[in-house]
Amino acid sequence: METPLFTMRYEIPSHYWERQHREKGCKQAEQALWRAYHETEKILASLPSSILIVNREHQIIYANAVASHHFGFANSPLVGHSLFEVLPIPADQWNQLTIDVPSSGSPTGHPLHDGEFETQKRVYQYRLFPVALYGADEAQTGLVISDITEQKQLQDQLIQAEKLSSLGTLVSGMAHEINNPMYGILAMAEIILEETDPEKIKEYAHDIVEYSKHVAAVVRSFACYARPASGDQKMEIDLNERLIEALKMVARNPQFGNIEVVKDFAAVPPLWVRRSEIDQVFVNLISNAAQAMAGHGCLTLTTRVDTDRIAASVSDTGSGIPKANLTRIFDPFFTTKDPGVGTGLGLSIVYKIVSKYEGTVSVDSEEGKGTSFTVHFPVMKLGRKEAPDGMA
Amino acid sequence: MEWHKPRGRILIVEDEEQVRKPIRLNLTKAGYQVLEVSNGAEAIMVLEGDPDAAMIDTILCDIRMPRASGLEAITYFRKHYPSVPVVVLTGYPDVELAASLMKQGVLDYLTKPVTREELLAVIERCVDQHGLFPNASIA
Repeated sequence: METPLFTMRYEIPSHYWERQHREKGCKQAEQALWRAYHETEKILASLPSSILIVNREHQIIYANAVASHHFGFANSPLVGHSLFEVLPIPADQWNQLTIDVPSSGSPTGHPLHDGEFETQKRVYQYRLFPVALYGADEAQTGLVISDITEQKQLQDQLIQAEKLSSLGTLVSGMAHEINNPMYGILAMAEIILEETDPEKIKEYAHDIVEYSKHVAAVVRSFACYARPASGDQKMEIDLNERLIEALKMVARNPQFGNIEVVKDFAAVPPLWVRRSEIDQVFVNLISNAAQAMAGHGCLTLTTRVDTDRIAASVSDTGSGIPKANLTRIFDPFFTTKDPGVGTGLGLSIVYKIVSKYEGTVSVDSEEGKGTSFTVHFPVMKLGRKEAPDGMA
Repeated sequence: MEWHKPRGRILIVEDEEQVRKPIRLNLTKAGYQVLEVSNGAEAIMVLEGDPDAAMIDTILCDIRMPRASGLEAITYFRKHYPSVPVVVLTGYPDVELAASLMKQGVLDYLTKPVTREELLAVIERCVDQHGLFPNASIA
């Protein structure tokens, strides 16, 4: 239900009336004011986004028509309800986001923070801004809320497409990893068929069991990586463990060659993320590093905690990135690889996924010496296990 | 205990014990003497330290291994022991790689999993060839 803008306290200064009365007449002024009011209301109602104004007590004091349509109740206007009854934003997150809202506000205040939430199978992005209404004692907080469900779906499809493309190169590693134990299983079974010593038969059968478990583990790790992240639930993951798993997947590829691997891991707090997305980040970074070294060099995987951020670095001693390309490496479809070798989406996907978890990606490269990519994730927000699943 | 002269000496270059073990069992049972190493660098060391290296009848070599890879080791084998037959046993069914290795003089390219009959047939052919022409370079 649409709420008139004038439910907010808006008093017309008396000297204005006197002047209008004197110069053009009271009725004319009133009509002009009403016209301005209706036009403002129409503009707010026509916006494709929802707009809510919330006071310091988290009570909604204004809602435009789109907000009422998306989040309203059947028989009751949104105004007067607590924000937390209407939107699935956790109170602690809201308090954290609004802590920087200046107490006096600013009529032309800049947007403060973005966030996302999911409700009724739709994904929304919200942006906060300070509002200082005329006559109000303290600043209110405004929210512009946009439906980004389709945008998210497209983004997920893009991420999946890139993942399937990288699977093409990973699959030859998978063939090796499966064909070795498959040979062991086949050959041991053939040997058992002709073996008469029960002890030896038992030993060889035990070998077959172990080799079969190996095959199952490899298939499981690839299946986890290949499935769309959109079907994945957020879970607590250990960055060190994910780096090792991503390394295993990439190192199976024959092109990995004789690259030496150095692991320098610190005890890092867990992250609350979709595992397959973080795997994709590390598989992409490690694949790039391996390609830059062409089978020879040193790959260093590092994790550390920098005050309130967790850092994971993938460094190589490869060819390095020319300075001219450094500003473009995160652009979609930017690639220096031969046609058919790279999609040019790898690093842009890394950037998208890391940004999604409020992280950052930085690169340090010197031509001829090597490249180091570092991803940073905030500790506090991601370590919060109680974040609802709906929070995208 | 009756002693039989081995049918031939086979060097297995393979990093995975789960592959080396059944090959060792099958070849030993078939009457071959088996030497095992787990990568290309070790294979080169063994050959360099063995005065009878040229008497090895066949080298069975994997491709993807840590340290010196199979490809590097094969280049070494072909350069220093051109008369010793080399057979590749790999997990990668790669036609282009197989063709390129054959051009280098590799006698056969087997992809895992391979049956015992196939493996023994290839080894027997190589050992026979080396027995007939022990000093002939394989083109």
